[in-house]
Amino acid sequence: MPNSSIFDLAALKRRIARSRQRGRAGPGLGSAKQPRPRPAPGPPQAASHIAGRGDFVLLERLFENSVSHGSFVIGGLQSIPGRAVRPASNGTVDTCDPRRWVFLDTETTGLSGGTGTSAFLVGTGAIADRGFRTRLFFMRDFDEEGSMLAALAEHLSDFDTVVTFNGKTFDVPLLETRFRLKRQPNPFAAMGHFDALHPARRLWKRRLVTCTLVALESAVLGVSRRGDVPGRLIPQRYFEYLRSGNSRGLRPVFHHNRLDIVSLACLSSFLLNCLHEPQAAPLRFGDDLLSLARWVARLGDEEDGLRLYRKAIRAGLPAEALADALWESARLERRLGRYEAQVELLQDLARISAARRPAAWVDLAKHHEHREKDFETALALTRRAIRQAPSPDLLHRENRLLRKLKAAAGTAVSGHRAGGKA
Amino acid sequence: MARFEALRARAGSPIAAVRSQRAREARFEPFPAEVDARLRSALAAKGIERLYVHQAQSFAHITAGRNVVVVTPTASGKTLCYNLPVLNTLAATPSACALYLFPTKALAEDQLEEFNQIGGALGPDVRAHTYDGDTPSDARRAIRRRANVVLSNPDMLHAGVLPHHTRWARFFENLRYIVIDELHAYRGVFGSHLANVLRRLKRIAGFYGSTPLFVCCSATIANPSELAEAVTEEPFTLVSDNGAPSGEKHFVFYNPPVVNQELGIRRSYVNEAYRVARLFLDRGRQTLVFANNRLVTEILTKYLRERTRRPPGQPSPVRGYRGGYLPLQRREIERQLRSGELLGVVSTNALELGIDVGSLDAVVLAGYPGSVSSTWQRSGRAGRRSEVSIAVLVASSAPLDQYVVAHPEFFFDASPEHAHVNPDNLEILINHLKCAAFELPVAEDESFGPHPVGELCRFLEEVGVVHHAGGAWHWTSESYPADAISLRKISSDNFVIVDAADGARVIGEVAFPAAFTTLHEKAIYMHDGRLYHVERFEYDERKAYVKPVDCDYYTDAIEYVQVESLETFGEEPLGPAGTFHGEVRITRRVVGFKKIRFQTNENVGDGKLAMPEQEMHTTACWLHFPAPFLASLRYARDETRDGLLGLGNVLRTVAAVTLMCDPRDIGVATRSSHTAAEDPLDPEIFLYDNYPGGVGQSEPAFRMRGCLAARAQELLGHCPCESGCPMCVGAPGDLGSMAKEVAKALAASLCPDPEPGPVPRQ
Repeated sequence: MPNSSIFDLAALKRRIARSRQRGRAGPGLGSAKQPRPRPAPGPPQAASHIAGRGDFVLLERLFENSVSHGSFVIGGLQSIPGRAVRPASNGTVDTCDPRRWVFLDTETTGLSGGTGTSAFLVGTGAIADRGFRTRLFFMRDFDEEGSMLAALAEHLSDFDTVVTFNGKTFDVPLLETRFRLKRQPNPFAAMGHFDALHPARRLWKRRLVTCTLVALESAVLGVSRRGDVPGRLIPQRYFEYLRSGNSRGLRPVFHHNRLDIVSLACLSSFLLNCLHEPQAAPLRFGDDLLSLARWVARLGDEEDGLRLYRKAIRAGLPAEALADALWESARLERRLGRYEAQVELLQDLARISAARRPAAWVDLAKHHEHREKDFETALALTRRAIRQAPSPDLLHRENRLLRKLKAAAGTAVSGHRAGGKA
Repeated sequence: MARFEALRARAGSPIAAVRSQRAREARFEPFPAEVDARLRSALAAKGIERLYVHQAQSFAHITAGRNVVVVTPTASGKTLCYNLPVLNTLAATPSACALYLFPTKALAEDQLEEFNQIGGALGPDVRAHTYDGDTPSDARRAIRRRANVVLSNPDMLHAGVLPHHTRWARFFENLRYIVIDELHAYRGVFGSHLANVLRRLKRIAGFYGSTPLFVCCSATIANPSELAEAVTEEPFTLVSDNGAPSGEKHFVFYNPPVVNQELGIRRSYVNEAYRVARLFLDRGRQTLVFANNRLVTEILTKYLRERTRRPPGQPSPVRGYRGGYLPLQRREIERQLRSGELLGVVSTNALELGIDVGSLDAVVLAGYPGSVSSTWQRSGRAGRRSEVSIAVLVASSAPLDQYVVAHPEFFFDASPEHAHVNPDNLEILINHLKCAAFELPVAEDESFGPHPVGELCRFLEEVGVVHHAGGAWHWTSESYPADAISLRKISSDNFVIVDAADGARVIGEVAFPAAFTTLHEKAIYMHDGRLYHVERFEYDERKAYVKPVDCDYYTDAIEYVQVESLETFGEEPLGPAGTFHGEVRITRRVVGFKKIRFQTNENVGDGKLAMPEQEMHTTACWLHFPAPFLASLRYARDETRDGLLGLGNVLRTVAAVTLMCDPRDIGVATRSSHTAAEDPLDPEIFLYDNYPGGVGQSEPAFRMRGCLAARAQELLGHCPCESGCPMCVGAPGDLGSMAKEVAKALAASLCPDPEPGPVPRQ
């Protein structure tokens, strides 16, 4: 069938028949072609072959402390608040010395997963005294995979934690598979793993449509990439290199990987700083501040959270988010016993959001009923709410308030009568 | 029984044959000493104190490290043949693992229950789980980490396990047994795929240092060891000495009476099957009715539910059962059958495979199931151990059915059929080689099937999916090759059927080649008991848009088939003719269609179509009649041509019977190389494998040419029609009135010996 296969099977059959005849006369069939000479990719001075372990290419580069990456200065990495990794990772990472963290990102032959996807380039980054040092482990062909992985494992043994972007789902399981296939021990087994994707999403998903590393570095760090290659084209670049031996197409790939690692480190630093000192977080957008406010409040720091809610409201929020922020901060104020502030927030909410108005009225009614004992105001608010959104609960509340009012009136009237009699 | 005998005695009786089997005593052997005490007491609790002979033999062979294929009838305790040795291994080595493969998910579920009944005795260390498309993802993780016994299917192994084998490292490192139940289900394309999946599985097991043993179970086929060896490429020991008891059993062939002698039209087999089933149901006999397609299943269910006697106020004791029903519903029906709550079930082949429904009083087969093996398998559902049971085959008017009822000895006495696979079909093999390269680099000195791996891999390298380095080929494509290959058919390019009247709902899909004949514009497509009219056929989109209709006809596509022989592998004379085996190119084009009325099969209209041409390379067996011989027969040119076409149709019918395959798996075409109208005919009749590359049917057809010719002659001689009918040469409207006579003469020339020979043993 013409459609059923991309192959010309008839041609293949003829070739098999031909090679069978050759096989009877000539050399073995499995014999491979001669290996072609391999050009070392990248600037030659940066390449170093590690002796005794088979060949692969290692490209090192130091990003000095004074260098800027977008609005971020590399030297900022020297003061990453390591302890913030605990809350940032939901308590799964407890290794707080950033100098023992290794930032890691892979470039692979595909995205489909499974044993047929290899990492041909593994980039790492680590904080050094003079700056941030990236190391690119690159296999020039598949027969270098074993030595590349062995060197990578040895390098990883200097660290106790790996920091990635989506590495829990992608990079680390993929590398674990590669180590397994090469029958090498799994270096990640003994390491902690901080995947910055999840906290980043938590902080920026309100504002950004996609939370890819490239989107984040542009929105958060103000980096605009030049001379980059889109991630989806990378496998093809490597395959072309394998076929042609020409490494020119790979240079942007190395560049891309290095940028990914530097951005990952800067972004992690940014994130951890936000959690470490939320009030000083350099967030300008109301949406981001709202996300951080929620996060900080969830971590149990309600005062800090409230302050961030206020900042978020001041910074400006879309209508729905504003309603959320007012509602949530009103709840927090109530929990902290600051009822006046709560009432103010609820009144604001009732003013700005038609949709949330009944809920605000109900909470205000509760306040007036239970704390102010002002049953009339409470009843008026409840009835307003009933007109907009009737419910059995509200009707029940209305009846109760009526009973309370009657009782109160009864006391007043009977008192009056008693007075009259007296 | 007496009723049937009495009926049979009458002239023109619809009872074509009756065969009876006497009751058989069980033959036991004591438990082998090595069996773990916990297992022995668990079995004793189920009432199993001794083993049947075949169970004991299987245990002994497997324990001695031999691959075993067990061939015994339905309900003979086959499952214990593999469960016992596997569990006994687990009792001694709790870390050991086993993979069970079943052709369907439902069977795996069923067998899990059975396994756990005994396996529970070994405590919580033995964990058996099903692993298939329905397994939730968190359960999958736990299964990969901890399960000893995984019950799955070849499709899941192919696309879900092997490409992720590193996650299964523990399992593969400890893999001791691979159990393939229902081995006979893996013939043709499915079996050829399975053989390649197993090539991949063995590579992966080897990577983790294990060499598992194979245990296969099969229904009765002629060549179980050959099939097991072809599918696994390992040597096998056959266990076929059935020690299970059976009760007295009768098998009746029922051929609906002829209502139109001239056209060879018989009474509807569906109505007749209904009447036979009611004979049993109304007497309170538990009965299973098998139909060959969903439509007939639904019709029979409807009839029987409405009319079977039942106590007032009670629900009907009859239900339907088929693949489209929900799993829970099916489990309930199985349970109700076992408990006796249900009196009757109408099923498709879904109940043919080893699902445990207990044994019943009677089985009615509405139409010949297509192969002897399936027929035995289905009729085996009837078989009380201590009581008389009965199976009735109600023949339809299809040529194959008519052949079988006319030749009861073929069914009862002749050697059973052969199951063929062709794991080296190049298209199948090369696709699995891609998967293999994805799973592990392919080393230069590796073998994958009979072809030199180097040549195949260099070919794949040119296509750009692998790359050679360090003495091996590595996968260098972003794609996930297993996703592109479906094991159940050869081409993965399907057409989806869209119900345009129901919000563009997709109601089903049809494989590529079949789409041309079933989904062309104005075709009537049958799905889930409903008829649909095809409004639009979108070749490029691979879609057919249909609308439900109510009509009394179906459509049959008219196809022009051109054949060209490319290479001849073998050549032998047969009478005045030459027979050949080799490779051919088939070019097909659907040029029109006929409308055919249900039940009566009369032609009620036709239409023209312009469909794209399809080309395929496959293997074929063909017959060449030299022109001088044909001239000597002294028939008119048109008569000769009709006779050749008719003989082709007959040969296809007998080939399907003899080769144990679905008649649709074999194509037939005739060709004449004459150029001008006045040139003498110099024709060939081709029987070809109806799959690209061939699945191994034409070679045995070539080998059994004598037998095919004899059976063709016999079919023509015994067909009661006057001058051809759909049961022999074809419908009278399609061929001239001389077709049958000429076909007879041609067939006779091929058979110097008037008696049909037995099927040669392979």
